[in-house]
Amino acid sequence: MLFDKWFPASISTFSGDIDFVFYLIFYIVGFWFLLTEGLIIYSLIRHRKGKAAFFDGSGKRQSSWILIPAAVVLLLDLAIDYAGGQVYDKVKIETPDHIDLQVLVTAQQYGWFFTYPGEDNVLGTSDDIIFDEDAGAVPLHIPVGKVVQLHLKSADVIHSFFVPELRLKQDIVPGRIIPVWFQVTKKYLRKEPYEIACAELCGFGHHTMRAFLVVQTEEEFTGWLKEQAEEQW
Amino acid sequence: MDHNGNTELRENSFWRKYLFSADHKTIGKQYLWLGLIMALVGGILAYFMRKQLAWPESETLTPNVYNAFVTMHGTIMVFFVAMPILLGCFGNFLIPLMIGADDMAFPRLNMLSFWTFFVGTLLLILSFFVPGGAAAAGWTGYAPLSAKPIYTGVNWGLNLWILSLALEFASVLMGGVNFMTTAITMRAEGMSWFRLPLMVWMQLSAAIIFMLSVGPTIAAAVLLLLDRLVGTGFFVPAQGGDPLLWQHLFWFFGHPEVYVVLLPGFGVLLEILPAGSRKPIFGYRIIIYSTLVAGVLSFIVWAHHMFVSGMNPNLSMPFSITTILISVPFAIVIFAMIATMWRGSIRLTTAMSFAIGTLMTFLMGGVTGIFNGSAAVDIFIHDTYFVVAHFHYTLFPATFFAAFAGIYFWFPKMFGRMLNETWGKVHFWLTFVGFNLVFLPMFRLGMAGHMRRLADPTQYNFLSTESIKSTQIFITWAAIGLLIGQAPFIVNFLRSIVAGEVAEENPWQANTLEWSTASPPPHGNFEVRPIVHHDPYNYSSPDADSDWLPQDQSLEEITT
Repeated sequence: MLFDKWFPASISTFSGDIDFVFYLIFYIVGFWFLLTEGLIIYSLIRHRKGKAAFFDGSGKRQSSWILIPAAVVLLLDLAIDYAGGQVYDKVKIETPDHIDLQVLVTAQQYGWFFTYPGEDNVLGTSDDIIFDEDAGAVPLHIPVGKVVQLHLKSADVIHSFFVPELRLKQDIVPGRIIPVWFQVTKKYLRKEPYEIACAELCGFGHHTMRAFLVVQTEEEFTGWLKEQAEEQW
Repeated sequence: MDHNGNTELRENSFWRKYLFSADHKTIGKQYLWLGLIMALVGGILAYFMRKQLAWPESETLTPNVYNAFVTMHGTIMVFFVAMPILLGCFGNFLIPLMIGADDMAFPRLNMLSFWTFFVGTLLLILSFFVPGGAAAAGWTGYAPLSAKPIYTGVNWGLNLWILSLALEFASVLMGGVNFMTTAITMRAEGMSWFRLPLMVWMQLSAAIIFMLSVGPTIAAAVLLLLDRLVGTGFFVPAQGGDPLLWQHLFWFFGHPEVYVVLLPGFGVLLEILPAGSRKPIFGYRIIIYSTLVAGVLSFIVWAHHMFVSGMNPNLSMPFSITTILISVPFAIVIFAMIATMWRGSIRLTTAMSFAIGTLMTFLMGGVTGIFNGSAAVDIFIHDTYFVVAHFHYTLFPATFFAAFAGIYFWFPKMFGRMLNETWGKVHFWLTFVGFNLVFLPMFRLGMAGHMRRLADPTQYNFLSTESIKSTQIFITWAAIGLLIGQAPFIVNFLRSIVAGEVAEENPWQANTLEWSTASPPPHGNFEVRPIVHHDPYNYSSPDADSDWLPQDQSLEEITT
């Protein structure tokens, strides 16, 4: 597509949907942009000399010149709302029924800390595998093709969890735990980790608040998690 | 004698005449000077930010200072440049002249409004020099980052930021009361509502929108100050507060504020386009109704700033729909402006160039707003350079292109001399090309996911590619060009005040009442109070001999 070179890779099950809405809007507003700029430039070139015409847009006939295009704008607006609404629902409102992995994400000035459920697959129990400040900057590991739900919480100010390739962004508000989900499409398994960014100004170290996202096969992931569990317990 | 009977205000000391003046024209010019000087400050801050972004290894700014500059650049450009020039200067200078009044309804309140604004500005400048430096929590001041000094390391800088904004709000409220009272009660004979120049309609709409929206934000500012000074915790969850409360209260005002700035900018265009095209405005009443609809809608779009904020996601789509719908009334106004030019006899003066430049650049800001307004796309582009590019394409046209158009257009009326047209054209092209070269590439950065407000983007691998880095460097050179491009204006402005060609009464052959009196108008504005016979955009009327028909001239007077 037109902007493939500029967009980050699109690796989640909904990233393509978000790009689709972007392109839909791009082509619709692109048409209006070119049309209106074209009319202005045409008028600038052609309507320079001689006596001006005298009309003021009053009356039904003349006002329809601008009201009919505006009605078309209204219809296109509704189409954009509809398409956008479907995708927003999918990403932010309807969580998949089956969740394979839950991870607690703690953001604080200026780092990310991840807590995995242990064997019971439930967060907040005694077998949780916790990476805190003492563990250093451990990347977020997730299995490819699985539905992952993150529970985002902040220890201090507002941060924002952002992975450009997932097309996923969610502010993290202190005092709340906000769930988000994603599923990395199978073909996007790669050795090189993705970057997790903080997208909300959070203090003077904001630009350093980065973590990595490691996408692994299911076997690699369970192996890694087991290793970590053994180390911690 | 002004209408309060204060003859002593008329001719007296230097102080009364130039400094503590209650004359709306002097106050308008004082706002203009203040706005232009603050624009320089804001521009210089932008220069340092751009230098840091293009060459982070130069360590031009430490991260704390970078955050402070980001915050202060936004605050200054919106509240201390756009507001004083578009409302303070154009509103004060033009409303009484355009409606045929001798001054504002409350001249002394007007003076108080300016000096309150002035003290607010001084406090803001002072905040750079207190220990800990200036506010560094973004111009939106999101809590709890802004609510406790420990989070940013800024203490009095942020307190002063709040106080200075409070004074600014108080000043604009006083101004707004004055605008409304004046336009409602002091219109000349024959100046009915639908004969008012659209500039007056726009100023009035802006004043009303401001008055109705600013309340919650003033309350929020007081709560924030209490959080900081007394330790209350209205926005601090550990103390039972809620950070999202701040965002709702802030954006309830923050979004309408965009239209407070934009509408007077449109007002400038709606005066210059008909005069420069020698044609009546197209759809005068439709423009007024559309503006009112947009004004009402502007109160129910605020949460489009919060699609990823953590508020109940079910709220997003209703706000997304209202946001995208607001494109309809604005599309109508834009179409009306183009139809006004259509089949005209366009005189491409510098003012007209800037007016058309406003239209051409604002269109880009308008259409890119749809991307942000779509809740789905916003998940990706929120808080990226796409948003930065978008709002500069809306606010820069209003704050600078439209303001420059207005300055070139009304300078003769303000100072009695003309600005140099040749240098004006040079200024236009440098600004138009420079602006687009700075902000168009920012869409590309945003589409790559480039976050805003990063003191050093190269901390991220995906922002350290050659393509991203060279784009950042390109933007910085363009920004330097844009800043240098303002030099012809500064020289032209200062020189023309003392040595410009002397202006006649009506150099643009325009119809509205301010052109029917001397340039500059005397104290009291009109020798004889004008009587209005026509709507303000009677250009090229087949009934008149010339292609303009001033509002205060009846057809009989002309034919006899």
